[in-house]
Amino acid sequence: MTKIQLDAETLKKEILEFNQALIDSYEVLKQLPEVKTGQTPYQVIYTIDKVQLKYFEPKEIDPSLTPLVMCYALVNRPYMLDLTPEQSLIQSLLDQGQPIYLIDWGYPDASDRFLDLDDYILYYMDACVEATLNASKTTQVGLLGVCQGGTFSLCYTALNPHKIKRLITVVTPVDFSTEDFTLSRLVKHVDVDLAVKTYGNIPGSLLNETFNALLPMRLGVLKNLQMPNNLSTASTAVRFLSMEKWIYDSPDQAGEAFRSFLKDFFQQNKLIHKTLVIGNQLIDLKRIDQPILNIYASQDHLVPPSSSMALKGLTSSLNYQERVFNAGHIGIFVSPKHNLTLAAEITGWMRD
Amino acid sequence: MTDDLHTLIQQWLTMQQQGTASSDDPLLDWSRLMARLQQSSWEYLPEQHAELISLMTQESIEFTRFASQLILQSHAFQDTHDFVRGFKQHISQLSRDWILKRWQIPEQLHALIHTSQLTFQGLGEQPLLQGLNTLLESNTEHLTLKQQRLIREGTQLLYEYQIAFGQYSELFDQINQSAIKDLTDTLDSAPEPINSLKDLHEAWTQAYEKEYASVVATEHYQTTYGQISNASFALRAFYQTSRNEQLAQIGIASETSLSLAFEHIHSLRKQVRQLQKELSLIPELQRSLTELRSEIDQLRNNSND
Repeated sequence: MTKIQLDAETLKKEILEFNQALIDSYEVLKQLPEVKTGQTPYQVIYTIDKVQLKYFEPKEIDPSLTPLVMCYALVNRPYMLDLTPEQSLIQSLLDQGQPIYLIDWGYPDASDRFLDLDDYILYYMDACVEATLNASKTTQVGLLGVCQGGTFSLCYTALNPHKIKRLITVVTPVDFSTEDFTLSRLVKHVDVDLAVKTYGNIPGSLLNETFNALLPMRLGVLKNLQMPNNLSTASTAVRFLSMEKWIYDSPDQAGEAFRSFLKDFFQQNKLIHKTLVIGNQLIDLKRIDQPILNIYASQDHLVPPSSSMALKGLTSSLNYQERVFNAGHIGIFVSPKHNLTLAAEITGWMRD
Repeated sequence: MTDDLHTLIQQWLTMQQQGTASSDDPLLDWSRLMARLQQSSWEYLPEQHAELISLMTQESIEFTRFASQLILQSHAFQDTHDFVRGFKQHISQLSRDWILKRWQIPEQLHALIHTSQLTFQGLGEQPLLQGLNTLLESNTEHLTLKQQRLIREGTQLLYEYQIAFGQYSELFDQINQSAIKDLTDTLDSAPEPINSLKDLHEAWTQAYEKEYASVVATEHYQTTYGQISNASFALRAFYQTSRNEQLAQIGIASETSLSLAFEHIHSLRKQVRQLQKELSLIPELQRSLTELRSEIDQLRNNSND
């Protein structure tokens, strides 16, 4: 062997180190209680079916900041924005005096099987925006959408431009047919009608497996090999466990909404083709003339920058700006370094 | 894990570190210890912690098994290619396990295979396909027409699933082969040799993902992925439909009837919402009407004047 120097002694040493780390991890896990996520205090100020609007109040509100509605994706849970006290975009925003109204979609069950995009965008989202307007006693709010929530925010703003003052999209898919949009390519020939017929609500675990299939080795073999190291100390273990909890805490997807999102956006790219109809209304992005800040991550393997950047020129906004973070789809929110910068960008955009 | 087992594992690690272990092949004992560890009761730990321990233990068994095998064979490796061949077998096994886990068949069928002479590996092999073909063509006169139809339909779907599964596995074999070649080339041209299994796995991951990304981008992969997804859905849907029909026959409400009820409720809620929206407009319409009336009255009065 010229290029692989793995002698018996080195291998034995490596196995021992790996297995010792496993036992050390066990010792660490034994001492740790169940991890807590989403610890920043909030009040539920409005509830509609399973949807909650959570208000996060800063110690001191900066009056120059427009109240901000945050719309997360239906996939996964919004506490990723408040994962641990050290990894909290929400806390970073509160520290800057930003009042936040977070839409929590909840966990759909069998009774929600027929919820569609009309229900989510025109009914629930609108009800949350109205509740925010009432609570904040303003006539317009800022809207920030994350990932699929960003796509929803674009549709919502196009239909209700008078209610939105400023818009921010973060790691948001806009063009679903770009060359490097792997997820979109994977589902190209999937029979979505059959999937919904089979499962009703699409199990969250099924989506997780699909996401993992994008980087099978990195998110499989390599991650498992690195796991004992990630669990070797209490502080690294808490971060790792919090992230793992969030990754596998994936709500089932309401069948009809899933069907529409996959067919209309992923498979037929209707938002770009200007043929998207929600609740009998055509979505015309040209109706959006609000200032738009479009933020994306250069290492995003779920929503490639090319898909987010496609927003440029699709609206009538005279103040469209982009920011790029050298991070991944999740790292942009949970990395302590990035979330401070991200919070500064957001409050900068919300300031009058 | 009991304290006894923990002590035993620690002792084993210490002995190995000090080189005082007596067995010629001590790493095999580790697998036994880990097997015992996996059987331990973790009830006092949070579920997430227990699951991670179980996963890591499994990983440790596989990692130790692979490394032990390398130790035994290390003297036999003449060159990089020789080594890579062994690594390929290890990776192929991991891939197969992953594919089987990813595209699970319906639970009922899973149980059937589990309790029969068949193996999951057999899902991609010809003898099982031939067996299914025979079943498709077999004489089932003693069954009712409906039963015959169900058997034919179910077998046909399983057959289609198998074909799709085989094609999908084949693609993964191709990805593995290309990635192995890429890894070999990388190793041959690397300035520094690989001297740890972790580095080897990292190099493998990079080679694999490069190859995987290029294959995923092809129409062939996307079609194959669609086929395995759809075949898997169809098989599951068939079993669910059959179960629901059986439940209906004995008068038990199935998810089909529940789903129908939810659909009606959803539709009614939309109608109510629409009515509420229209009702909310009534006060405004009344105001407009009153204003119009007063304007008309005003106009009338003006014209009378």
